Amino acid sequence: MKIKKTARLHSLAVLVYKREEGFINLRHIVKNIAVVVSLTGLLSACVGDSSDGEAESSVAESFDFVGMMANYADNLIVPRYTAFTQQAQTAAGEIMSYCNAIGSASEAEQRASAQMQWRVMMNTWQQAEIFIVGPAAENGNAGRNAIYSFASTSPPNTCAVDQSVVLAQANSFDISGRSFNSRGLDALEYLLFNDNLNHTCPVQIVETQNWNSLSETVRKQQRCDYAQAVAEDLRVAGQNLVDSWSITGGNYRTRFVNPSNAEESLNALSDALFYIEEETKDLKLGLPTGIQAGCSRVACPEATESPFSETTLDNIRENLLGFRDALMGAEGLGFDDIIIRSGFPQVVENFNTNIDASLALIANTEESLLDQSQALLASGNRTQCNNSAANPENDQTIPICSLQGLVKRITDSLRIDFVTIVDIDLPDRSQSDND
Amino acid sequence: MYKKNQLLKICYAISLGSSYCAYAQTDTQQESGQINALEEVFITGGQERLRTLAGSGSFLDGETIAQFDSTDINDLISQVPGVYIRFEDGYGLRPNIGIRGATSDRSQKLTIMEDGILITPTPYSAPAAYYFPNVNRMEAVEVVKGPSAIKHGPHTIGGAVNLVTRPVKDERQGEFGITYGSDNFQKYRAFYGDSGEQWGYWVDALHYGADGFKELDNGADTGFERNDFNAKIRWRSKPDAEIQQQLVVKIGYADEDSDETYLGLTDSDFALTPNRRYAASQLDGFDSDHEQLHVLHSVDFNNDWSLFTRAYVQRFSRAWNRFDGFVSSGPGQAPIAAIDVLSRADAFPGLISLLRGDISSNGNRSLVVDVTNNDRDYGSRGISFNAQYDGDIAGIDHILEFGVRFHHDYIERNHTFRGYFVEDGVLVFDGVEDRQPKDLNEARTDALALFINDEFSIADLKVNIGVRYENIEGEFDDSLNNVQRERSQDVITPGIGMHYQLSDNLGLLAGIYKGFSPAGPSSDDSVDPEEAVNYEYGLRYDNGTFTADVIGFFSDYSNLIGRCRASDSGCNDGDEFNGGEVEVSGVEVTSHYAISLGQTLSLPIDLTYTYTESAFQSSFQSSFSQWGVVNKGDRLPYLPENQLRLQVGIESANWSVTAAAKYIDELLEVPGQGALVEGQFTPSYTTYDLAADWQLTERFNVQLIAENIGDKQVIVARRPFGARPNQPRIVKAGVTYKF
Repeated sequence: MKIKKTARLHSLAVLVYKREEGFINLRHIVKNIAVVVSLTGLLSACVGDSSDGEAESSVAESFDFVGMMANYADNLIVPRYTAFTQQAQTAAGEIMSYCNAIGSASEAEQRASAQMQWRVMMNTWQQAEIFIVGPAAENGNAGRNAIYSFASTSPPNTCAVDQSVVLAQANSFDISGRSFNSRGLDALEYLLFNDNLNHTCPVQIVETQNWNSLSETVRKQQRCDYAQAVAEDLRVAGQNLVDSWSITGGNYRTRFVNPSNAEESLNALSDALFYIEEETKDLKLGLPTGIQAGCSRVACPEATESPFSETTLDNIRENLLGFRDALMGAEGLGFDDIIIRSGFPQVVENFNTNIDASLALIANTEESLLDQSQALLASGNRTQCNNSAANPENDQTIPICSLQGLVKRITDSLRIDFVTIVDIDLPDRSQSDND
Repeated sequence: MYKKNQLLKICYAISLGSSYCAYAQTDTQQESGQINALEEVFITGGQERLRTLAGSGSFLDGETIAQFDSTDINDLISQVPGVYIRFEDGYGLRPNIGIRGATSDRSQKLTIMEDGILITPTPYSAPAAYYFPNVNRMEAVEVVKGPSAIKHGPHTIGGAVNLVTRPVKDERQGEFGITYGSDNFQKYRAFYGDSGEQWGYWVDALHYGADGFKELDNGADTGFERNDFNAKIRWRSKPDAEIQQQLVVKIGYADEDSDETYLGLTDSDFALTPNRRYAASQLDGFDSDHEQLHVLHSVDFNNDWSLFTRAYVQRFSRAWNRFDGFVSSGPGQAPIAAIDVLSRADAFPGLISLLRGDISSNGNRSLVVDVTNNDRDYGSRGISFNAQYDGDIAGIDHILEFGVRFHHDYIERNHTFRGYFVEDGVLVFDGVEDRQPKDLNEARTDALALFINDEFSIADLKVNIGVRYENIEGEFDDSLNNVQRERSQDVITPGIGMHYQLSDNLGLLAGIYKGFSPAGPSSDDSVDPEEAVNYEYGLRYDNGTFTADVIGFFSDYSNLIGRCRASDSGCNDGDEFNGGEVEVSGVEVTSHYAISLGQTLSLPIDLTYTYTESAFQSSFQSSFSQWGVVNKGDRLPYLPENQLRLQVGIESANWSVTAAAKYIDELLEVPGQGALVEGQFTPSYTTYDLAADWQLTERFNVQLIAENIGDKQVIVARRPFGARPNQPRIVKAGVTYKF
């Protein structure tokens, strides 16, 4: 990367200053003298300045990276953490209402409300997934995994959740001591959406050996109790991220915006953008459609994200919305400004076109990703999916395959155009495309 | 104080000069009563010789200094065309003066002298002028530009400033003055001198200070106190001695205790309270002391030859304990620079709140303020010999000068810092005692300077030609980073100036010389010395009552040097950077017109105007934060396109009233061209000063002075760390008793 820290001083905002007036207008006197002096011809040796005043420095040298990083911190990243934290608090309240309503006439209604609040949280976090930088990324993404462990080294595990449900009944239970695979949004999804009350653990797991013998109401109640703890844990995890960026907390924002760290911050942001390739395209779409090499069958519906709520397409939609913000900086300075100022506005247009097409396809798709994946697997034939992925505008027979094709166009632009124009290195994990 | 004609106050001369200067010389001689003592310390040779300078020069005499009771060299020297000022503290404690495009940053590109002796702490090893003599005790200030600057190195690129102390006069003299003004400004001056046939002396004590016009959030003072004690002893030959000699020994001590800071304000805070100082600057203070011993000897061999010898030893130590940003939050983490926070307050609102004291650190290690003690010791010593032949060679009058100077100077830097939490608006030590110093180094220079200069006349053409040679041997020893450097520089800088008297009233002049400013010993071999070919050309009109000098100048830099100071981010103090080719040109106009209003009143009008344009001749990116990204054609920072000073007075035999208006154009703070960019320039502004002087009796004089009577305050600079104002309206009254 060739970003130079001294470029930080240059702002994009150009304003012509309105000159002040004195008691008497000395400026007019000055100008008149200048005219008279010029007429004398004494100033025969004018300095050899360039006539057009055209800047010759590269965009990287003159771009306002301080303004860009401040925009990302203040308008894109921290607000999502803040919103998520508030939503988690609301969710804890909704879940408590649901817990109180178990066995009553309003149980279904309260459960639906809790599920709805989970969707709100999930949508927010799916956008935040595109901004895994700084504290969320430290210690192997620990800050992020505390909230959502999909595609992590400790992916969601329903048995671990079942164990925690049992353990949580003890007064001494401390959720912060539990593994990430039994916490977070994915655990909460399992607790709120899974209608099967039986546990999912092997028989040798001690904690759940008596679980299936409990009454339905008790099992609902215990799962709900634990869901409350998970929601509170999510609030704490969200608040930790907010605090870690806050000047009165970890003050990471200062480090992120510090012009001395412009290169580090820009690389972190650009690396985070590749979530749309690694997670969205390859894991969320590639495996369930069987396009990704990691799936050795026609399709792998068991790899579907959010299988209980069947909201994977919603997740992908939010990923795309988050990606667009991360690319464009929303209303402020972003990568798109670098690309446009480098003379490649069509690249930004291409990104927008493909993002819009992907969002439109999701909006027009009623069948869940899980159902489509299962149907594809049941068909035993990959040909149609491959056709849909290769020609996504015209062949949307299997929408999730077409969606994979459209998202691939986005990631192709990311890997080639974006990397070249913004002059960054590909993140290590994205050096090869496994499609 | 009796007011002479305004003609006496400022004398500008190029080569042949004018009868205006001759008139001034006559009067000054009468007042001083001691010509030799003056001549030996005037780099222009005194007012009479101004006319024979190889280039343009200016002379501000004692009455000019007294007119506004100047304690701020910035205000005084703004009366000289081609001189640029970047205001900093409002009192001129550490001036930033540039000439004809040479950077004004801490006056580092000027040769600054007292009585012809290099006076800045280390003019070779670290030329930033952290010591600048108090102008209030001076008899005159000279500014030399153009080809004649080559006689006064090492920094000939812009020119030279010489501060002239009082001579030992023949008659007994005593003086006590007291001045009181706004913000508890107080100045006390006591002077006493006497002279016999051979021996004479004076002692001079000056104290001045103020509580400061800025307001710290905790209510503490932001002012300063300065003391200045000097004594001069003179011995001279008996009047009937065959060979006339004079020996002057001058000793001086000066100290300063000021609450000065580099920390300014955000633009938005400046708009609300321009004189505010943030809580984070509450520990800031500058302490210094300066000692000097000057020995000046002159001998007239009574055969057209004379010899002037100057020997000097000087010590200066300073400790500036001041806010310098933020302490790194952890290993490997770059601390954020103060200039970055202040220049982008929109991006760092939290840190700005911390500086204000609006929020507290609460023990957070990522919110520790860096208070650095930039502790430095300086020293210089040297001896110079100037031999002069003033006589006839082959039927042509010549003034032939040979000069040689041996000089040594050194600087020792020990910059340490401590961390402070901001707790409820109070800086609280964070308890970490063993932080590594920021700088621990020493630079030394031995320099040999030689010059030859000849001035001769052929009919109406006068020619002044000279050449200077400098051999500079520098060493740098960085104990912290275990870096040692040696640097040797040899440079020959020739110059020639001419003046042709076209008619009785009109003269033409032209000159060309090679200007030079050495690279410091701490810079590596990739940094070239600063060099330029400087041209000047113009005309002088003088009909006896009206004078007008119009001089064009053009400086063609082959390499401009940027020098890092402790206040710059991203570089080490003393680091130097190449700026490549730069062109600076402009026009200087000075004019005087005296209108007689009858037998007892006169109306002198003086105008000084400078037009300047500049352009980098290449595009590059520099790690020097004052440049950053430079595009070909960009103007130099802190160089106003237009600046003007208009002064009008009414003078009678025993009173005078003088009004001055000063206009300074917008100043770029980073290189740029085209439309001005918000936050990267300072606005143009005009200030008005007024001085009234009344000679009550032969011995009592009273003065009333109002500076910036419109109370116009603008951002005059955003360096070092944020927006800082010019001085607000200041009113002061003084009385002087002479005996």
